[in-house]
Order: sequence, then structure tokens, then C-alpha cells
Amino acid sequence: MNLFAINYQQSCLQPVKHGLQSGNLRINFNHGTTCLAFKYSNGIVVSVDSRASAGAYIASGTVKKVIEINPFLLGTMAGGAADCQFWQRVLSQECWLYELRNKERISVAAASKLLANILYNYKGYGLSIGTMIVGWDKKGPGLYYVDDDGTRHSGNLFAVGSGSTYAYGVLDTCYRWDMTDDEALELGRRAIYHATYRDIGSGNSNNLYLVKPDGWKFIGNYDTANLHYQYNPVAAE
Amino acid sequence: MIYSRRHPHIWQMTPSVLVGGVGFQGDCLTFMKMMQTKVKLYQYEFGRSPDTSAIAQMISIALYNRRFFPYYVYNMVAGLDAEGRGALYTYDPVGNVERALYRAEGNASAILQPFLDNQIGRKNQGDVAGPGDLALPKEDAVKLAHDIFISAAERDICCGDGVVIQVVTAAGVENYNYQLRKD
Repeated sequence: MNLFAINYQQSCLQPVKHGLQSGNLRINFNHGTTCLAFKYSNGIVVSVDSRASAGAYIASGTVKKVIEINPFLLGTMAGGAADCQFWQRVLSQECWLYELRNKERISVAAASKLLANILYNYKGYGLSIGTMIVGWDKKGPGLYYVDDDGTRHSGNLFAVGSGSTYAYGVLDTCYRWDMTDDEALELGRRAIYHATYRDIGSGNSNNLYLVKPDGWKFIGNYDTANLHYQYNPVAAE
Repeated sequence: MIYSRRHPHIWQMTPSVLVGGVGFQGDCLTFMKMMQTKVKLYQYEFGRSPDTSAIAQMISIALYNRRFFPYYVYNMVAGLDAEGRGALYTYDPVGNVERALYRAEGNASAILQPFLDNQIGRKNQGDVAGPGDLALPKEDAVKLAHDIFISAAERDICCGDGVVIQVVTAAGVENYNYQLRKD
């Protein structure tokens, strides 16, 4: 048994889930999340949490997980924070170049395909990205799920991240196509609240965006601790 | 093994931007020198110093370029933004960047960050106002930074010996050095 070889192999730098490890030393990258987006009769709601965890430590409670690619396109961040930030910035650059070359705004389908193709080239390298590309183009509302193994799906409703299962529970129960703006926003808020309540990797606050034919609008930032007492009022003593 | 009791962790990039980095010292030194070189190249190309947000973005990309063999450094950039207000940017080892009001990184980060959340962010203090009115006078801010490191030295074996506090103002960078317990 070559003990030197075994020891050497363990002390080489190797990728592990959400980080790198060399022997006993471990670097954790910021990650973790719940993000959701759904189309309805009047637009698209995008709702995300704002927690970034590095292992068991909460690295930040104020992460902006909705990346504003351009005034008509949004991308969400799930998985590795740096991966999502970097590649969606590359996507913004490519979308702008497309506009300059073609004298018209890029479609959501094309933007999501650009990102999916880039990510497919890095398949197997350990990137961790689960994103939704959301926007409004001449074909109407667009919502695509794109992830690090090259998956690209169009759909009406997606939830991504460690807390997605909890968000789906609320979304699948209450989702209807015919909703008013307020009903849709409230559904987005509630789904994230429930995900933050049950998932340790999600929490802190909820950022809500609404996408309409004239572009996206930031609706607000809601502290999930306050949302808890709103949805579960404590009876007066 | 303590190799030095006076090793600096903050590097000056331009007359009004400081970058601090902790982690593996080999990567810290190399990364800081590399950033100073990039700043110089910017100055040669554009004829002026890069501002805080430009350096912040530059660092994020420089870190991500080594995504598959990262710099084991936790960085922070401090400077003044375009409106003359204080700006702080914090990073993870692969370049995730976020602008923040306060941040602690390093060995004692887990015990200092909650203290900052309470004292500067005014979290969990009931009806006390949020961090919006950061109207701390400079002397109080320096005193708070000093107190933070006294606490760090009390409860973390890697912290101690001394602390260097640098304050970025419109007039430039001021230095305050204090001694801490040496055990």
C-alpha cells in the first residue's frame, strides 16, 4: 500500500460540492438559494431570496440574486454566486453586442440559448449555475430555465435552488393563469417566505420583480422575518 | 508558528482606494501585486486613476479568471464612490462581489460579523433606527474599529499583536496603529 500516494492524492486540490478541498483545508464558495418565476395573464413575476451561505456560515443576507441583464431581460442566481454573476455579466455583454449588430433587441429564446451554449462548453468543469432567463420580447413573455449541465427549458413556472421544493408546494397549490398583478405578486412573496422558513440555505429577505411588455420593474424588498409575523400574527396578550 | 507580528493586510491601489486581503498569504501577496500592476496599466491607458467601482469590478474578474484554481484570498475594497460617500465591496475567493456597509473577514470573522451586525447595522435592537443614518463621527468609527479588534484578540488565537486602521476620506488616507495583546 503506497501511503505516500494516498496522502498525496488527498492533499491535491480537488473540487467538492460548492467549493474546493485540499486535505483538511476546505474553501467554501458562496451559494444556496430559492428563486422562482412564473408567467400569468398580465406578465411574469420573479421572486428570489437574498441569502448566500459559505458552508454553514451565512456569508451575506443582502445578495442581489436577480441580475439585470438589460431593461427587458432579467436573470436569476442559484448555485455558485460568482459563477452566476460572472456568466450573466458575459451574457449582458453578448446581448448588447447583438443589439449593436442587428439593430434590434435580442429575444429571450436567443439570450437563454447563448448562455446555455456557453455553459455546455464548461460541462464537467464544476460550475454550479441554475438560472432563469426572464423577459419580454416581440413573441410575448419569455421564461427559460438554464443550468450548468446545458439544460434549457421553456415553461410557465419554475422554482430553482435548495428551497425550490418548498416553493413548488405553495406555487402548485395556488397558481392560476388568470390572476391580478397583486395576487401574482403575493403568490411570489408567499412561496419564497415558505421556502425561507423551511430551507436553511434560503432566507433573509425577498426581492420581487414584475416583468411587463415595457420591461421589468423592481417591486420591493421584504424581510422574511417580518413576513413571518404578517402571515402568522401573534394574538394580543 | 508566528512568522511575523507586523505583517500588513491592507494595500493601497490609488490615493483614494484601499484593498485588504486575508487568507493564504502567498496568494494574497501575488494577487495584490497583480492588482497594483493592473491599476498602473489603467493609468497608462486612460491618463487617470481608476475609481472605486472600476477597481471593484476589476478584482471580481481577476478572481474569476482563476475559477478552477482559485486565489485563496478573501478581499475587500474600500474607497469613496462617485458621490463622495464611503464604498465597501466584499468578495468570496472566486469573485462574487457585493457592495456592503460593513464586513469582517478572516479567522475571527464568525465572531466579529455578528458584532458588526448589531453595532453598525443596528440589528436585533427592537425599535432602534436601522443603519440608514450612519452618522458616526470619524473618531467614534476608529474607536469602534479598535474595540472590535480588542474583542477579536480576546477570543481568537490568530488575532493579536497589533491592528492597523486606515480611514479613507476625501483628503486622503489616514493611519491609526494600535497595539493589541501579544499572547
